[in-house]
Amino acid sequence: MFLEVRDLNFSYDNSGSPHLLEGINFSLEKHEAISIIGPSGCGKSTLLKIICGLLKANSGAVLKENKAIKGADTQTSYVSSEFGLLPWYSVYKNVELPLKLHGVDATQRKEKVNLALEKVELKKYSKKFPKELSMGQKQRACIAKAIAVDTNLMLCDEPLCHVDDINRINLQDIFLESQIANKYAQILITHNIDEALKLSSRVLVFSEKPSTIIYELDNSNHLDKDYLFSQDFIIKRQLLQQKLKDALACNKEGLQK
Amino acid sequence: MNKAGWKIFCIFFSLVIVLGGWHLTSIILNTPALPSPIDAIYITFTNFSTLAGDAWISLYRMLISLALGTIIGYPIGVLLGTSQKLNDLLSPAFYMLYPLPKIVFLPLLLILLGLGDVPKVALVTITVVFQVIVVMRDACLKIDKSHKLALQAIGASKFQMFKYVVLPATLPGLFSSLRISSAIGIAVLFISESVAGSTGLGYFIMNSWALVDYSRMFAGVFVLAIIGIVLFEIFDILEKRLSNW
Repeated sequence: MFLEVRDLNFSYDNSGSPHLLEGINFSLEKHEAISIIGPSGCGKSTLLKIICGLLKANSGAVLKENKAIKGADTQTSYVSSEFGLLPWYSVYKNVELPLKLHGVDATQRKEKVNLALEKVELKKYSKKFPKELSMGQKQRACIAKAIAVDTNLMLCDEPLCHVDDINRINLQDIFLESQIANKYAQILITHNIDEALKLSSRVLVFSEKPSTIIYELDNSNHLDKDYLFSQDFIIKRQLLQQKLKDALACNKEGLQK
Repeated sequence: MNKAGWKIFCIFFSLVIVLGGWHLTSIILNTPALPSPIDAIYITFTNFSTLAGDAWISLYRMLISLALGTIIGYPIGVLLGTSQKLNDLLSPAFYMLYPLPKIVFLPLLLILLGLGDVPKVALVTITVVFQVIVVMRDACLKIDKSHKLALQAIGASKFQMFKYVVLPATLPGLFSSLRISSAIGIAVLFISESVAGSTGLGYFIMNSWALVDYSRMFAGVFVLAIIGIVLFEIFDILEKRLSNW
């Protein structure tokens, strides 16, 4: 088991108020990609921040390769729609920064940055500043930044929520190709059911807060040819739509499979 | 027109506006207390060596004060802006001291530090320090949380956080505070030079006033304004080089 979230409880308030996350349990194999969907404000992003080491759980544990996560980890990458690029650095410098912080030498840095930028088709924009990029290009730069480091866990917090449909489809392909090629584990938070089904082998549905996992969908055939046009895909989409409605209606149903 | 040419044209254009307004006002008021800019500029050239010497003294006092004010004020402002506890603890003291006209400290500084450069530099430095502290604290508080999180997520140390986020994010604010400080600083320096000592443009202007030589007095004012332009241009160049994003 690569990553294990065990009996995790979290509240932003220590005064004994109800938990935001309650009894979260799931695991992730190496190279596996899962998605989390659920109502807004149910704590999905908070969960990623806990896994990333930015927040501490009230109780429970997050184990990566059987070791408790105590802080930010150099092999964990975080991609978000909200943050990632520093406006005072060019695209190249933004992508280079995590490598610099991890002590990678200059020659290797150059190699890795150029490779990452090539993968997301952004090399010719390397000298541009974030303000000069479109939303889609910014997201590509964020992905390049994440894949430039030798990451083994990619945490994606609604990375495509601000991009238009055409860019969304292109970026989904980049996410998928990158995850398969770089063989990292991935947790994707999204509000888009199609995206979750396209990019992950399992989909977890979170309830309203106090949030818990109310449904887990096996989607291990997501890489099959023509899967997106299959009957199976349509059924799973409808199922997840229904589960999302349930998630909004109930606080806690327990895990159904 | 290239960039340098355009810049020179803009400065020339502004000078024409200011000097034109001055000239018109002097014609309308028709009083010896406000000579025409032509007289003042003529006196500037005829008293060039004296004025240049005093201008240089005032300029270096300003530059040292701005540098010291930044060196002292910037880290304090950043500490207050990044530590909630320190901000809570010390902000009331700054709120008390910040609005005080710093010129009230001049008599004390003159007694303690004499009549030379030191009390004048100290007074302008105090003025700059408070300005820089307040603006830097606010600049730190306004740093986008997402930028900090971006670095925290990759395990940045406190020093790395400062180097890659706090410093670049606060540089534009620093230059704004220095522009404001230099304007206030020149006024404070003028008063301190006119009250104590016999050097600097403040002394030159007030001495000319005492001699009822208004053209000479306004020549000094004209050069003081040029010092303002020089300082603002220095900040513009530095800002373009250091925070061009």
